[in-house]
Amino acid sequence: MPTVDGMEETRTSYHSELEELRSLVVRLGASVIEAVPRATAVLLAGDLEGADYLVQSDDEIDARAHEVESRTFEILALQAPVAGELRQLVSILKITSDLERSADLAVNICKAARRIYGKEIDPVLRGLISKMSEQAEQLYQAAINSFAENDAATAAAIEDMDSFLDALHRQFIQAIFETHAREKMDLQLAVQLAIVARFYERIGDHAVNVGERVRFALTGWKPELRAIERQRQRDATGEFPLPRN
Amino acid sequence: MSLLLALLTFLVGAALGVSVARRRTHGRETSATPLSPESATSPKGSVTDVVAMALDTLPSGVVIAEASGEIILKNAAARGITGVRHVDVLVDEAVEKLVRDAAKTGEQQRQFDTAGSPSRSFDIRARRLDSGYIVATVEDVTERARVDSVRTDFVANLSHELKTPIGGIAALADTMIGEVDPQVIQRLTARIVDESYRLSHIIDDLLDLSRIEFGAADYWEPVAMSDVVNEVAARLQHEASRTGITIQAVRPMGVTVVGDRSQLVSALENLVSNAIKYSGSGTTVIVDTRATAEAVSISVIDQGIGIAAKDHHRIFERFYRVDKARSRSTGGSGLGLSIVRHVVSNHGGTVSVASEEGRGSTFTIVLPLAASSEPAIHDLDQQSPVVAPEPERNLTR
Repeated sequence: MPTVDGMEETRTSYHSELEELRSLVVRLGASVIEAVPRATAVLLAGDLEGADYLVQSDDEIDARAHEVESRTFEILALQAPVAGELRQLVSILKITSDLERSADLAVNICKAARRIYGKEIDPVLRGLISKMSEQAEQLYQAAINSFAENDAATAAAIEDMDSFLDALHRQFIQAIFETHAREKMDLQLAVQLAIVARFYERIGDHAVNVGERVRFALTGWKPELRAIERQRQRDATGEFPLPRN
Repeated sequence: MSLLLALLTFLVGAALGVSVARRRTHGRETSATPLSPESATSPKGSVTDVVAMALDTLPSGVVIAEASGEIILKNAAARGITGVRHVDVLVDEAVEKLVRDAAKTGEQQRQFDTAGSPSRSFDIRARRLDSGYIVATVEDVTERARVDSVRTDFVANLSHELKTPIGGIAALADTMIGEVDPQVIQRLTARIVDESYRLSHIIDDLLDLSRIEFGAADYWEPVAMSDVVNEVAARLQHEASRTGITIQAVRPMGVTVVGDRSQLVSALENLVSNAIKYSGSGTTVIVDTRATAEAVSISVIDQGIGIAAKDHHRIFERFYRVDKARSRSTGGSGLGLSIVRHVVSNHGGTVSVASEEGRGSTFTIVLPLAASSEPAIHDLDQQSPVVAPEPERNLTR
């Protein structure tokens, strides 16, 4: 039978492992935050060497994500956490997935840079790409800070912050049409840039997801609760939207 | 090995002969007050206490690790060298890696750069002590790296700017040797003359800049800013008309600055000339002047190609080109904005830029007014903008 001292030692080790895991998530997040402006620099400078470096660096991010997941599973299996700690561990699994996917999107930006190598990007579009990159980076900074500091208020604000990136995305697509209409850009470049803009927009969405996971870990709130509530009201009133013909 | 690292090697070697409380960091900040009960103590604290407190006062980060690479102490700066979480985390990782490498090799050094906002440069050094401990230092060398980059770019750009016309002249002259067709010779000669003027223009600008940099002024006097704006608008009207650009200027009546008139004209001319060069046909360049009781601000606003944010802090450097490929087609010496900066500085003012790629630029000069200056324009917005008159062609600059 374990002694009281032995049980305390086990709990200390458990909390220490949890802290270490959280630290790994923050480190993974820092790598992703750094990958976004680096990918943008590669795209705007047509830096093939930089693109190659970032594509290869993604393996390290994947390895880190894998380590976080393995350790999380280990803690879940061995410590059987409950309540807040369980929510936290489940959130970490989902956050890791968002981070890993965001790093992939940064890699995709580099690959797009390779495809459009040698083509000149219109100054208006370059300016908007820089802005989208800065915004995506800021969203992720806020998301990782909210995780590291257990800050539910910041986590809740990220969704609203993302609307600016969404607006930039729409503005960028409009600018692509305008530039293409002025015959200043060929179709291939236009399509690639539209895809790149989508990558930034998706990185922003993943940052919003991270914010939502942090909120869930801290308060139990989930975005799906809003949909569940709407569904419940429809069930109660019997009012359902009619299918469109 | 840096002086700081050498000093630390000595200090840590002496003080950490005493034990250092072992703490696992787990990515958390470790206090620089590592004490064990058996540490040597004095009425004012133990030796390690004092060393730890001394380390906390350093602006550079100091990290001490065991032979295994496990970090046992970080001073205050090392616990958050920038205060921006993700940058600090990346620096932490770079330090840990260097410490592990130093444990094997004895000594390591690297420069570590981060991208994004804020982009920073760090000099990280690590050294293994005789006792097996490893000491690492982290210095934020962002400003130093920027200055180095400016210096390197200056030499490269100066060489390029001078070499291009000289190379052109040599090639053209070489082609002329043995050429008998008078028409070809005439065409080549005309191009040699063009390249010579270009070279002369660069050297003139360099000499101007050198004179302005030393703060020398030919003649300081009260200068009416309306005269400066008028003169610049008049000088550049022809160039603007040729490229289909309208200059719209507000004359600041009664606003006087004490300074060198030719320098002030030169500064504003550079800004308006740039605005014309980088704007498309059919657009307007506005020279907007506003005055308060203490200062006058002159903004040159264009709807041109704009400047990326990453270049804003570098465009006032000598020969810095935002787009090197385009510099040849737009002409100019690459010294214009550097001249503006120095002129404004000589007059106790400031110059700033607000710009977005593809959306145009606004350069604003703010100059202190002369004590006797009584601005007659209480609200410049009420003044009707005037199109500058057709100029007399001025070829002095």
